[in-house]
Amino acid sequence: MLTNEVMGALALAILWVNTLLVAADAGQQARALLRRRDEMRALGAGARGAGLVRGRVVGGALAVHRVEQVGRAGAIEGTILFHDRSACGEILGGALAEPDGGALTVEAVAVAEVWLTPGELARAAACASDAAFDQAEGHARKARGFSRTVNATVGADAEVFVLGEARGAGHGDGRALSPILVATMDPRALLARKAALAATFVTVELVLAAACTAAALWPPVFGRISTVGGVLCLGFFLLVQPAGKALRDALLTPSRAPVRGRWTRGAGGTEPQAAR
Amino acid sequence: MKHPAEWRQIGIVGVYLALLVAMYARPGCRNPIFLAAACYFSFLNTVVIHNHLHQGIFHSKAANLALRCVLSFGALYPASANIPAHNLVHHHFDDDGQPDWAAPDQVSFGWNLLNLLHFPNVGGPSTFAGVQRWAALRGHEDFVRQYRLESAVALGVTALLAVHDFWTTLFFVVIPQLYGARGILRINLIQHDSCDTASDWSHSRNFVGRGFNWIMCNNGYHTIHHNRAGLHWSALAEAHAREVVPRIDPSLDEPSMVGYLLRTYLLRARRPPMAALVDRDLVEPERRVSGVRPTRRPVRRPEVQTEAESA
Repeated sequence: MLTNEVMGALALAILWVNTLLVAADAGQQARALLRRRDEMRALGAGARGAGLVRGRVVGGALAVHRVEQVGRAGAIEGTILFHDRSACGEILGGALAEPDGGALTVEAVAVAEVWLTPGELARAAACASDAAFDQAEGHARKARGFSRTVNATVGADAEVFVLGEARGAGHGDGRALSPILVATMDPRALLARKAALAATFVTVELVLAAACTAAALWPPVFGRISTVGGVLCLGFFLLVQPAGKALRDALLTPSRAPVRGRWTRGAGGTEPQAAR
Repeated sequence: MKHPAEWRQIGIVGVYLALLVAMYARPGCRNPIFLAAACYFSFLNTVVIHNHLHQGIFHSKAANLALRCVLSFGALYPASANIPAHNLVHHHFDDDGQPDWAAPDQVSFGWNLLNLLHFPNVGGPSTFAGVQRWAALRGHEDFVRQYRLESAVALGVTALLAVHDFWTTLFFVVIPQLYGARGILRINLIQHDSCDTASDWSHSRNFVGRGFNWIMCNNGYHTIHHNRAGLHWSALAEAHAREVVPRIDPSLDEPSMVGYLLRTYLLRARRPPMAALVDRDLVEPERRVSGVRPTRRPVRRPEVQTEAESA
């Protein structure tokens, strides 16, 4: 015979195993982010080797993040909803002016990571005009959809961080950098913020699970307060899963997070859906 | 009813609901055997959802809708979610290059058992977020109505039961419901993990035990189901023997799911590496079956559109 006490213990065991799995997943993501941050050693003025260099882009565009998208007409009239098919970054090469006045040549790399802020991506993906919207909408209403490439560039005068291998030979008296990542924000700070977000999530998750459990076990067990606790436990079990998935999405590095977005006729702009 | 074999599916759903009613109404039925059976039949209920959403069981649209509502209650999620999530995206039709919402690589624990346990926590929300995005597109208004109705029935009936007797509902209705819903998500991991999803034939793992496939309505034959999604489930065993066995990497035909689960998730700690799988007809041309061309996935769009309409 399965009494309520036995089943209650089973239900709480299921709740806690699941809670700990979601927490472990978040912890695993956070550790990966921190390992990545630790690999990003700052390179001082004139230093050689692998590391992170800060500077201002001189001349033309330094890098581009390209996102292949398909847009389809939304159920709400006058909207086009985009989803990503693929994304890749390219470092076009160029020159950086370092804060100490030094110059650095950045080599071109066909496939690299380019990290941009959500605002920069949104500007690159924005609808240029109502005429552009109308032209796209004709395709978006068909089964194949409206295909486009979002080209988000890191242009002249942008303050950037470049991760790569600095070598001695360069233009003039400067160095040359073989890059693997260009970011328009401090990538170490971003990774640290994301790891902190994961740690906060785990803490809040465990506290909420403990609170729901305490309520469910409130004496008399299976009484009024305990029943409210049972409802909370069920709600927590159901909600912690999408919350955990939302956290995973928020922890994605900028080059891996989906851009998606929506065009609305007359609004002039794209709302990116990815949290960064 | 379109096919006499569908009585098996109706019987499965009937047994499942009878188990839930028995445990809910009769304290004497609240024992481990009834609970385990209810959990297992809840999983089978989601297998019926899968089959019914590929090919509606009844000729009558109203009867199909009514059955979808019953099945949705059994699984505590709207059955029609399978149309975008499984029929269109998982079968690689409407994905436009997007990853499968239930792709095995979404979990990456070093201890493989944790991947099996955790997979629904990631695959479920990914799937429902994808369904919401798909539902927001023009032309899917009928789907949205259907989805909302099924959600209302699934959640509404469960809520009514909970208002009447919360703890009995939680322990003897909701736990079996969620076991089934999470089990069908795990099947994606079990059937595709370490397989070559770019291959024509070695993209899926099959479980070929006869008894297993009788109760599972032939859902062990997953390769042929992927390649010929429009084929009725009752014809899958024969089609598997005829079209898949000569071509698939033999290691992907597992005699027993229980054996595979024990071997993969309990008797070894680490996740098996990506196997070096080769379609046999690529290395052994004489194995090609005359008159049957390898079917590249995705299978034809009209076939799935017809399925979705009939469902």
